[in-house]
Amino acid sequence: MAIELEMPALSSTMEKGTLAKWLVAIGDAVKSGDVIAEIETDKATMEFEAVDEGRIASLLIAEGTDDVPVGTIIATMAEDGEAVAAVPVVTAAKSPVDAEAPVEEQRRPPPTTPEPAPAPVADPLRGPAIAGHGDNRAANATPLARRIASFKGLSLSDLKGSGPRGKIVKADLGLPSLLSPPSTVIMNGR
Amino acid sequence: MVKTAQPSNAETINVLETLEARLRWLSSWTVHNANHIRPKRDGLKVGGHQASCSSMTAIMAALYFHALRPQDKVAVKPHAGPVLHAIHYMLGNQSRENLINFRSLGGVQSYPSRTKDSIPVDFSTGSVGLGVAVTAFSSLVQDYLIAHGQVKNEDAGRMIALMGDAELDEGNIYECLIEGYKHNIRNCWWIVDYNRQSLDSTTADRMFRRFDDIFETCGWRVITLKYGKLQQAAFRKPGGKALEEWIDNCPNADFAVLTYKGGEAWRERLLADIGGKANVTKLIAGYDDDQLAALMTNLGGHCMASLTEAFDAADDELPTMFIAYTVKGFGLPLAGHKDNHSGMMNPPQIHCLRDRMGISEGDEWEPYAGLGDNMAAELKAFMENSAFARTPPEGEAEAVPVPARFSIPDGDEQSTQAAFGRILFDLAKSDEEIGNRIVTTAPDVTQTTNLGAFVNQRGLFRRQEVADVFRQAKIPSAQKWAAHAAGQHIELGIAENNFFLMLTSLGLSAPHFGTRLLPVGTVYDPFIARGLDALNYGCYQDARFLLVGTPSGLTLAGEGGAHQSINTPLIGMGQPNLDYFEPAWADEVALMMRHAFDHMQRPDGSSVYLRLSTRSVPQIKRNSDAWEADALKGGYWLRQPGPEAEAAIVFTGAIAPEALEAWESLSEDMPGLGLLNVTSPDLLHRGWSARCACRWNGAQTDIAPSHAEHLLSALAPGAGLVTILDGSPGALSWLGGVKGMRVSPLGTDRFGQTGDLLDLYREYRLDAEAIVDAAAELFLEN
Repeated sequence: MAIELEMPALSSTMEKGTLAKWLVAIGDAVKSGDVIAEIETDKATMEFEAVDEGRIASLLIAEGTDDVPVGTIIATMAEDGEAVAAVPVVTAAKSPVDAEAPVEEQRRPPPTTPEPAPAPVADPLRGPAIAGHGDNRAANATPLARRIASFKGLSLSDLKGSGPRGKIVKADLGLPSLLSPPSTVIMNGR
Repeated sequence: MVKTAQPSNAETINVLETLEARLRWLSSWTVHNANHIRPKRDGLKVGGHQASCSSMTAIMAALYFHALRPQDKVAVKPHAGPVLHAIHYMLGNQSRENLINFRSLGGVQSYPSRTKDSIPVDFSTGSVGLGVAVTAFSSLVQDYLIAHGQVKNEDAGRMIALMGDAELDEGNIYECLIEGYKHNIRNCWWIVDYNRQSLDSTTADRMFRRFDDIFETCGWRVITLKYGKLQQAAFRKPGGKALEEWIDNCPNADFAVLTYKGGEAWRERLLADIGGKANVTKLIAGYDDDQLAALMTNLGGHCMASLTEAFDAADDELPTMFIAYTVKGFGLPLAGHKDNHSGMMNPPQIHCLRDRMGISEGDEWEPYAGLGDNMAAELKAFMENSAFARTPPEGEAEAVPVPARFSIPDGDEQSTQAAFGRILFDLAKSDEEIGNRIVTTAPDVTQTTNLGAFVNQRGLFRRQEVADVFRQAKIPSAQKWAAHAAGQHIELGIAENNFFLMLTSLGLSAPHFGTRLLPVGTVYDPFIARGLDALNYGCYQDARFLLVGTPSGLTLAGEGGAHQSINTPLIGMGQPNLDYFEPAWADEVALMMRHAFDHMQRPDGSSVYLRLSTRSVPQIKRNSDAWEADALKGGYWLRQPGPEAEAAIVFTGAIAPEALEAWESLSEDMPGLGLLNVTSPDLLHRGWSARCACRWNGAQTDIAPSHAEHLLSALAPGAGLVTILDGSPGALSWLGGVKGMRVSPLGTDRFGQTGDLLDLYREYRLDAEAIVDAAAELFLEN
């Protein structure tokens, strides 16, 4: 009877984890206390140790798979004397997240991703509201050009944009460059 | 068990007493010379503490020339610094010139300093309480080294603090006591110069019994040296019991006044109070005025026989506190006066002392003046033959090889904190020597700062094995925390003072014990401030460690304003002997950690501080390693500016995705826009300051431009900078001054609050939108 190895709960609150690395291969003899895999949670990388003896019969989850639920069968071990069938890695029916999907597709970003994607920069509702030309908000202009125009009281509606598809960019505002002109030093004699 | 000590022989006591008088004289004269003889140019008082020195001279004579062994190390009470220098002067290790220059540039430091003084100083002292507590942590480090086979058990020394009683008011003493008890420390002595004049009598006496209790509860042996041998002899005579009771009940203020007034006053008062009894009158009549004054001030801390016996009796490894009763200003005309703390003898007073010592005018600096040839020779031989005089100088410890590269943790999205934990984990699993020399510690934040994987691999350090009960009970836990002597993590309670003192002691392993440790300490970044004085203390004595402040900034969003660090970048920039880096990506973490382990072993190196984040960010693709050299100098161009670039975005740390996003957006408007990743505002500013100074301080006139100048010279004159970091904006905004550029700075300069990162970045103007705003700002004044 094959021994099924389940994704361990490394803490009482752990629900899933990343199978970071297999440290055994199919056919390897394993005894109690041997380190089989590295499991990662957001706080620590842990070593998963065998509690039984036997030979690795199958590895059901690929290295690097995120979000493997606790209790998922990740490998099987044949007991002594039992034949080790050549089970291809990661195609078993009890594969973790979705038995039908190939492993690569099972990789999803961790649910603990700290923040959703940031709002796009060209947010027309964001930015200075004072001294602005109302029509500037509708203009096809870069966020920078729109901001500068609003503060300087420039209307964008009359401008022709030089950017892609006629977009108004900062250069179209006709402002002097920040870069210093060649300086002329005048020494006043006494 | 306490061994019964043989009484020290009378000849040794006599020599020690002679020595003690020389130390009192030389320390007094050192302070006197600096204040009354050496010309003053600035009209300021020089200062020094003659009375605080003289209350300790007997203790120090007995300790250094009777009890101390070459392997022992001592932290000397700051105000008794001149006594330590007098000891080394008499041994020929200190020059007269340096004593003459006490508290002057290049001379003897006011308080003992490992890095500034020319004599061997085991521990710097100065910030009250820290020099005491550090000895307990160094005894723990010694145990760690013994357990790891780096120091032989028979070479174990004693870590000793000579402390003023005021140091018992410092909270860090009690934090240390608790931690010491948990770790079952040994080979530690704290010797209290218990001077009653400076404390309110009743309170002080009441407290002192509590001090006994506190220390004994924490596993310390407390030895009180209250009465000297003269007093003990007097108490045994008829009438002695009454005298003893009188002393016990005498208010401290009265005792101090009588000490100051001398024998005649003692007699008058004693006769008035207890002279009604015939045997008391007779007892007192047996002493002339000088003898009576000597008897009444013959407290334990001034009695050489009592001191040597007490030290002999504690010749085991039990941590021991000696409470040595002393008189402040003992042996000086200032003795007992309540104003004597910073008071000094005036010239007539010190001349009187000089005459009493038999020292001729002009011979004040002669170590053995006025002793007579025989006594001088005997004293000299006695000192030279002492165990202390055979203390070897601190040696060079062999360097621990650091691999040329650390492997970079995999993962398209990672936080710098996770990368740090992963790299340590890899080192823990490697069989390279560096993995054996790393020792980690944290103030109860081991898991939450990603040290867990290292600890699981290498174990907790305990002198006695402690099983992991949860593991035995088969309860799942990510923490396999068996504790054993081979463990490499020192677990601390949540007290940052202890944490930084632990790092200090670990970081002094090489000079103290001749063998290196590579200490890594993690702490929540905002709570660096909680132990800042202890961090400064460790850096002041050039202890070497890797400090990791994590998580930092607003990325600790859910924890709210009290946990979000703001000004730690400025701490990193302002703290000498500590190089501050703030990586953005995992490959930078690997680079900087490798650098840190190398840098902290170099003679001209320093400790390193990494400010990390739990924010998981997309990792960046590199085409080459060309960025690495510049990253270790403090910054590199992630997007090299074009010649026409009107501006550059300058960022530090985990805010990198916002900087990149804004760079993409703004590049449409500003072709050639630069993107500068400042990995160390600290190194950039230091290099710039050094360059500015070097032209003028004569060091070098032809030094290459600093790295900040080099980086910014890629921009045309007049180009603007938008600077951004999750911390004080001042850490980067100064860059505008290097080449005279307009700056639009972003960063946090008010307390944070709870919220998710998106809200907080918007609220505190750390998002890409804010960077575009800041870029627009550059043009509004144009």
